[in-house]
Amino acid sequence: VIVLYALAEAGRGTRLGSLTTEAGPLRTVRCGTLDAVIAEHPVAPARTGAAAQQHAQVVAAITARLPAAPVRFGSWHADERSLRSAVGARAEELRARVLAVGDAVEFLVRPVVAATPPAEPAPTPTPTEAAPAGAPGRSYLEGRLAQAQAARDRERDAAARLLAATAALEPLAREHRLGRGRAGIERCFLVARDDADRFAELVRELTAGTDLLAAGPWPPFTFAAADADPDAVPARAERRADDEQVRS
Amino acid sequence: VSTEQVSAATSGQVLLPGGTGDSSLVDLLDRVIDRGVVIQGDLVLSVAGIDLVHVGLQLVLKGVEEGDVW
Repeated sequence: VIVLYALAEAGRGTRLGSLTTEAGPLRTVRCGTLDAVIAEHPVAPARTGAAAQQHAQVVAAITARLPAAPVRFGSWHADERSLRSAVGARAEELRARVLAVGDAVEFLVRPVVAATPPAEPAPTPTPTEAAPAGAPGRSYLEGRLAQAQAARDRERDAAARLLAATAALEPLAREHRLGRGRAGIERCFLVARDDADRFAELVRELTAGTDLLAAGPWPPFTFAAADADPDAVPARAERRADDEQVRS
Repeated sequence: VSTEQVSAATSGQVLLPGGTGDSSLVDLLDRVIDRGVVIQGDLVLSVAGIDLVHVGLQLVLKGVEEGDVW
């Protein structure tokens, strides 16, 4: 099984050296104008968090050696022919992503979330002026609507605070994005690898003594998805809209 | 020619104490599973067009969020 880890410009794969994974050595497969960085596994990786974490480690090792765009976990191919076909069909679009993010890393800043907050109890239906006794469904739905609105307001406030707290990082970033990750609202920064140390130092200064978590540098997974593939980054358009809305 | 084994030390780091443990792991897995360049492989188990590999990983990530041991 061919496991795909990253894409680089054709010819750059020689910088891999003799890097090897647990399954075997990394090598490249030429796909038109791109080099696909792969390793051959005896079987497809397990669908576990540990395997996904191992994928991240391999991608990080690759991108530390050569400019490359990280590939999402789960790109497994039966043979080189099918790999070339999958990559070659989108070669120009993919090459543009490699050029945009290949020499950069990603940082994350978000509020620390101590634990998953307990779900709010559903509102108890109560008679109201607008919904007299006998119409409990209406008051229930109004209660749910109010809960949803309050949640949106909280997230909007958190986003505004995060934007303000991290505004000083923008000049050092090539691109930045406000979004919603598994842990809630977050801000991601794409930073040229040469500026990563300076950016990390600034992040430390900005977030020291605050309730913000900062992480990185990581391979630029968030910024690597092609614009033409909106499914790759869910709600991306919404995130941009949020960013602009909060600023206005 | 010597070979170099990929290690956890090259996978990036967390900058702040607040980011230790599972909190930053969720962030990292979120990226590896949900983001990055998407190249559909031909070794994908799917039903009705739904990528079951991806669905399975989403459940793994959900478990990490909720503090399950995996």
